[in-house]
Amino acid sequence: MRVLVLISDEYRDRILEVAENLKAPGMKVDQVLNTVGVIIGEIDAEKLSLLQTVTGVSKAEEEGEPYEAL
Amino acid sequence: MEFLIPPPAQEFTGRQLVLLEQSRLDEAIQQIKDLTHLSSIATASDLEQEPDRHQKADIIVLKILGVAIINQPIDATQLQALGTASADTTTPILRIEPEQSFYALMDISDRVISEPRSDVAEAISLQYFQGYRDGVSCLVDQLTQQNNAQLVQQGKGLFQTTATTWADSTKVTWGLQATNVVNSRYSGKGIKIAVLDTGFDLNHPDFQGRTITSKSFVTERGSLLPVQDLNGHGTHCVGTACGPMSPKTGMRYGVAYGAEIYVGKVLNNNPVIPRGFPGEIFQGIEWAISQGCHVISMSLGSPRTPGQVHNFYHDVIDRALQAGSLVIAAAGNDRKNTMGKTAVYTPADAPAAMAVAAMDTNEQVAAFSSFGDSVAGGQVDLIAPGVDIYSSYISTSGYTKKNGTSMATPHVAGIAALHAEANPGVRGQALWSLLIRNARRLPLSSVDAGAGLVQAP
Repeated sequence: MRVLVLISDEYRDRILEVAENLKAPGMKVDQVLNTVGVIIGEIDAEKLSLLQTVTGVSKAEEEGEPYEAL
Repeated sequence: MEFLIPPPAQEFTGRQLVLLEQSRLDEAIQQIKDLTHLSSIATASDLEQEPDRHQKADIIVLKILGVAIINQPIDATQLQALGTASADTTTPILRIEPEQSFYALMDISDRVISEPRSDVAEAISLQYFQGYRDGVSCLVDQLTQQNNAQLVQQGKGLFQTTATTWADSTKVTWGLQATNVVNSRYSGKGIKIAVLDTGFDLNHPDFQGRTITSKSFVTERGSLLPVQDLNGHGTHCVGTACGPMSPKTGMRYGVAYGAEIYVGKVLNNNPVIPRGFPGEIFQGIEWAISQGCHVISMSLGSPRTPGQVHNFYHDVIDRALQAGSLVIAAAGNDRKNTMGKTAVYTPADAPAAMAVAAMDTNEQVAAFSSFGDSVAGGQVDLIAPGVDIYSSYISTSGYTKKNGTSMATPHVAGIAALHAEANPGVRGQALWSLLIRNARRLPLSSVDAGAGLVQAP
């Protein structure tokens, strides 16, 4: 599933390091957004909780429902 | 029988208050002395040491505030001389005003008494006041219906129960009139606006020759969609935010005709309901920030159950605001609770995003416009025109009218750019403040309309 990882404030300047660390639990990293501090990628659903334990991760969530034009 | 102590009338003390240019205080005081022939001065610190000097000093000077209080009545000639000096922009005398008495503001219940009292100037029977009020109300209603429509448009009229009605003219849309864009001398020049939506019709005749920076973030079946807008929604929103002063045909429909346009495609081309994933939208936000965009307009959202909080997206938009990009998002079109959910949509519910509701031509909340709930950030911040909004489109004619908080949002985005141009260097939270302060309060609930109708500088 698609996953969105929010980097904690303290690690925003080391986002690439965190991106590397996310690979160990099995995340495939697609996008690294430096300014907003978000890493986007894919992971098996049952491994999502492992991402939360990676240093520098504030939140890791399944990408939610799409947004619609209003 | 009850008596009402009337509220204080406007009362002048006979003294004059003079505002001085803070860097030229001595010169200003000398000028006041010359023009009024008054001579004795006391400063605030003098009065601390010798309070009695207050009675004798002709002029009291508050050095920190840069204010002089002329403590003696002065004659008309002297007053006129001071008035002339204040109008002259080269003098250090900036303003002059007669001093009015200030009073504690008492609650009405403190002013209703059961018997007249000798220490209160007047106490008038409540019945008398009620009759007086009814007579005045009737008179006001008669007068305002005749004269007020015009005054309200100038921001001077009284609120009234019969609403002002706006209409498109041959020259400009009603939305640009109601938001005072028509009277603004600003164009958004030098300001970057990002519109994150279904892309843009890059071939639209009204935008040939206008620099447009664009990027797509939407993938479908594994490949990236082109920026070219095949739905029309994005083209309409860009039009409202940034359309030209003089379109190829028809009336003006765009706010910031001088702004730099950044189009981020984050919604697909679905002909009925364009959609985009949060990850793609975050990429759009990231891009807009990296391009230096002052304003990010997002006419998109997802329903949120009242009380529900989306923390992740709130953090992202916080960071956008900190980075100097003001995110403006549509409040949602779900007022009637058709989906079993109401309240301001996400991402408009992010505390760091400005949530925009929609208004109709009668200055009423649009029938579809979502309202706020009690969750932090889940409130409407501003209201803007969102019904019968004419703008650029992908139809054969090149234009169409649409309804939605989607249409209200780019009005605010364009106007934010005008404020940014009018106040160089002002970004992020400070720009937010300018929009709120300059909004026109409407006789509508803040749950529906926030601080009021957005206004151009």
